Amino acid sequence: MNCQNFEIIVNELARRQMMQADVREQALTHTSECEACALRLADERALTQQLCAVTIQMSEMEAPARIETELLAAFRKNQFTSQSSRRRPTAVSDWRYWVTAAAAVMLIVIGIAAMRSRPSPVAAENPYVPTIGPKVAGNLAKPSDTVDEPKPISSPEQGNRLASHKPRRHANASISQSNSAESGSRREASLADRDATVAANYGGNEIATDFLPVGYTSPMNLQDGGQVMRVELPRSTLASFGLPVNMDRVNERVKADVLVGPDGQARAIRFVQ
Amino acid sequence: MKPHTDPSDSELLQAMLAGEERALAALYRRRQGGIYRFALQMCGSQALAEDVTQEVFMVLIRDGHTFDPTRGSLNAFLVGVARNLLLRRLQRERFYVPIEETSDNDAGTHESLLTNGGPLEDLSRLETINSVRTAVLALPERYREVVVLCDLQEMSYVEAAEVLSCAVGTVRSRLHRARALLIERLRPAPEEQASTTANSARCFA
Repeated sequence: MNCQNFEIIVNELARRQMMQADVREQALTHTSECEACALRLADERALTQQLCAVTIQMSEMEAPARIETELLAAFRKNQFTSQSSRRRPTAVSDWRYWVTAAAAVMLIVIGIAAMRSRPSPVAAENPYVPTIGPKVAGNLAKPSDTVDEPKPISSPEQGNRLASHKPRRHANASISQSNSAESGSRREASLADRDATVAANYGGNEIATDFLPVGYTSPMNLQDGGQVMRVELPRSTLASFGLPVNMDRVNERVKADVLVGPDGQARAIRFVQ
Repeated sequence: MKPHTDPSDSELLQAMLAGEERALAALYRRRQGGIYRFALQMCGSQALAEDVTQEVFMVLIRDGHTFDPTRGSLNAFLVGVARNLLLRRLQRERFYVPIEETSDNDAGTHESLLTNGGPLEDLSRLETINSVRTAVLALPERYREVVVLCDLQEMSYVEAAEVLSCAVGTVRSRLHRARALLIERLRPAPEEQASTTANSARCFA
């Protein structure tokens, strides 16, 4: 055996580990021939003895008794908790679970309904997208012959406030429509002209307020649909809806869109700039 | 008559998981000493060793069902948990409590050691033991744990490998290196060695 091989097994030799008898003999023979390896083995054996002394010294050391007491208390508590958690899923908790789930589903349905009933801001800005109700949207998207015809206004007060909005071209279109003898091509041209007029009136450069209810109209009534009419009103009308009025321009007029319900009464109004 | 045999660790664990408090008490009394000593030899702090010992058994109460007997013994599992907890705590606190910290237990052990020989010899042995413990505590963690497991806890290479989750060859090589480091650190300084030789020569002269 050489020194390199001796170095590999010196630990096991010093720690008296099990090894083959002939290897052990060769290692001991080597120590008698090599002084360095003999010193190395002596150091290892001394270290083993010192470590043994430490082991003996500490062999009686144990954790204090209070730890056992605390552990057993924690074990009891853990058992109690697990048992009570096992008991918990009873009929009562099932009933509560289902009630909570039903309430959650109802809340979700109500939330979705509320979100659908609100007009989206994008739609309010674009006059070709339904904003108030399906009838209004239908009228704007597909202007029929009676779309812009102002309905009679029952309330005299509202009648004073609202002025009929009937563009000249629109009037021409009505006249051309009333004359049923004219050719179909002319009719189509007039409809195209009408579309252009509506598009011009509801141009993208207009800024409009939200529709404000007129009188004590319930917001639910706004969903019944109706017709939208462009009118001009005295600027002082803004004050009656709580909007700020520039007193320098109080004599000027302001544009507004009036939503007229199926019964001919003004339901809501929005101001356009 | 049927011979009375102690239940194995696994049997006690199963009984404990079934809710038997006595099984936990028996398991604790059987294994707490080794875990406590391992923790104490690794960190040198009694308070930390007590905390770790308690936490190991708390883990056993909570997650005892995760123990897999095919992967090793319950003792190796517990010591492995203790090692992980200890390394985490040491990394967090980054301090080592001095070895001089003593308690009533230490005093009792010292008493038993002092009865073997004369006072001077006992004092010398005590100093040696303290210096060895200090040297072990000063080792890097990877070497310290193999010395503690294989030399102080007297585990086999296989058991130590189970605790450390590494190969047996790794344990052997680390132990070899660790013992070489210990010998270096425990070897007296050259001046001290020379003065001792001179004094003895003078005495014999």
